[in-house]
Amino acid sequence: MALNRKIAYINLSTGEIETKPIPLEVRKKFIGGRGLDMYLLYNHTEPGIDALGPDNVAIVSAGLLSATLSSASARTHMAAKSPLTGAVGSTNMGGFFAPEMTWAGFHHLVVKGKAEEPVYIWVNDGNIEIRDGSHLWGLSTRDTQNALKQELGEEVQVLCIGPAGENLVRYANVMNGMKNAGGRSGLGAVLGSKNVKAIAARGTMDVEIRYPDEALEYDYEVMQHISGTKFAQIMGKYGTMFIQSVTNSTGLVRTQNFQHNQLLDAEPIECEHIEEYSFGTVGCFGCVIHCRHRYIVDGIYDEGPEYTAQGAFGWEVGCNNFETVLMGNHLVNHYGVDILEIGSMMAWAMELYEKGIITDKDTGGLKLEWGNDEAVLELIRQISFREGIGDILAEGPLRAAAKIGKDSLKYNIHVKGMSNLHSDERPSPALALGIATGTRGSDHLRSRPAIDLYHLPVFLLEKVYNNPVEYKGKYTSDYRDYEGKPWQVLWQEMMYMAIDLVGVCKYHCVFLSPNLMNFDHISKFLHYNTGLEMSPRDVWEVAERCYNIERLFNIREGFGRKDDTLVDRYFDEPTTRGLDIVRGRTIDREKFKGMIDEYYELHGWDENGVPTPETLERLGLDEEPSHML
Amino acid sequence: MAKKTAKTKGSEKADSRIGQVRCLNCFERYRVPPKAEKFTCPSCGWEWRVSWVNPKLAKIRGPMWDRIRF
Repeated sequence: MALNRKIAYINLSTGEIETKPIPLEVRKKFIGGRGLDMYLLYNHTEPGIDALGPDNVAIVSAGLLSATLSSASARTHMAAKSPLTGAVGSTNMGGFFAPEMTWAGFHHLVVKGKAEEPVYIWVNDGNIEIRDGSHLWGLSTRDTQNALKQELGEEVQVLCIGPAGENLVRYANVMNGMKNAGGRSGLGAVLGSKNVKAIAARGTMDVEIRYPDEALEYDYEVMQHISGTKFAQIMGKYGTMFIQSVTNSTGLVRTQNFQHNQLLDAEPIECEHIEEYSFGTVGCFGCVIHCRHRYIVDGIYDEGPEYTAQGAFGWEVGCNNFETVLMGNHLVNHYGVDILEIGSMMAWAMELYEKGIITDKDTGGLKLEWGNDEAVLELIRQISFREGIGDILAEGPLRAAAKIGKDSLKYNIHVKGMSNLHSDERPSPALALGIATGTRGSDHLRSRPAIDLYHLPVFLLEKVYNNPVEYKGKYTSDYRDYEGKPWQVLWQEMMYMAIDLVGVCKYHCVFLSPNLMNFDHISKFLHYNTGLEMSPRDVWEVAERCYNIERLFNIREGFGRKDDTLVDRYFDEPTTRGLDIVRGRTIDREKFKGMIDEYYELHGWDENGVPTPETLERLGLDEEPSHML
Repeated sequence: MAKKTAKTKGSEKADSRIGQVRCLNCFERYRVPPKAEKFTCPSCGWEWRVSWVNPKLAKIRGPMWDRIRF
């Protein structure tokens, strides 16, 4: 059964490998996936360690529902101290790795120390080995996976880093398959720093389902519902690129590094153009949506692209060439670097170039002009291999700004040292609050109340957001308002944490549609598949506990209220384009401060954003680190 | 096993929205004529380009760029 999957501690410095069962009391407190990873991260690291040193840990996990009769339970989570921000490092990817690791007998791997030479870790039916990986070093993510499949068998699933991870690019990603990327937080660099090129898994240890008939029936019912929604139908045809139609039309995309909020003449990069290059869609393990295309551009096969690719190689850098989007998407997958961070860093560099803060002398003659497709693709390579100005940009916003100097930092759009999604939150206080307070930095996947943009009626907002915990305040349908938004952000934090505990894809929960899975569904899936009796309220409480552990980690590392904010441009520079309702918008400083106050109060944190002793006691966190595992 | 797709009142209501789009400017819902490539919102007058996910499901593709320059 799912509850008997183990945890393994792999010490690369000593070669020791220890496996342990995960006690039921730990499961009830943290369930698994991201939540248990955060518990392990808090318990197995010391304050102030070097994120790229041997004292950091790299934790890889599957959610508790991975490989069960809960569809779309394909997500792999990774945690470590982030080399980009110094805060919580957390990243999540789809594909097939987590189910394979589960069938191999494990839900959590805690990788410690540092190998002397390049290695890969082989997880196979209850056994774990550290093997020589020197023949893999230098290979792209795709070649690494192919080499290991040749060596170990076609059925093997591989999680690996590319050249960017080896070169310690601080936002290097971790890849599984063609495009399933754990991009945020730079955890590819953490694996690179430990000389771990890859983790390969193969398993045949079945997961016993507690109530198989009921689990099948319930999964069928939920997936029938999901696949019948407009959201799933559009996602299945265009993937997340369909979002661009709405956000760019409205004026919600960060264009040319925040100088505008809409790319004019964006027709060439609209999602419909994928039909000219695609030969079908493909999904992750057990998914009914199938949100990514298989495409060929310039004779190269890849998968995607997503909304972030349109942003990174489209509106952010002022390009409106669909082939640049496709090729840029391929290169970041190939080299293993976070598409979101690299798009933001390139756009920032272009604005610095435009303003004369960096010149041809700094760029080696590379013309970093808006819309220069060739320069964009070349810069991806230079960053991944740390060549030329790429070596500076590979350091991420804060370190790169320190090296460039002048007033370069004021043009960078980041929170806690991590760049933002290619979106513009000035018209939407709820979205702005979400990125400002994200534990891993500027983040749309940890708290974004995206449905706030849909102008939903208040009765529907009450139905969604008052379950399983009731909010006493008022909601408003207008996404430009400030009222009720702190609660919506908090609710989404709990929703996304809950879905990450069980390893199900966010596109199946209340994220881009109000109509999808919530806490009730997770409670039932847990019951039918594992036998765990947890009410929706219990699931919420676990999510809250795990979110507070993330917060505790950050506080231990010196983060606090001063870091829960936006760069000045959000407050000072009005939006220039878009529909009338979003033009001329900024975030109001005083109202933003009020939202932060309410957000802290709702969480049970003090005015500095520190969980109060009462909150820690209520959540059973008053004795952390408790070293139960 | 699960009940097959017996239509409920709720799903009929959902079906009635198939083919409708929501104007991004005024948020009103309107049905787009089949195969239409352009659509003017009757409520606010904003003009949109339309694409079709399938023959019954319309989607706003983007604004009429030549009308919104500023």
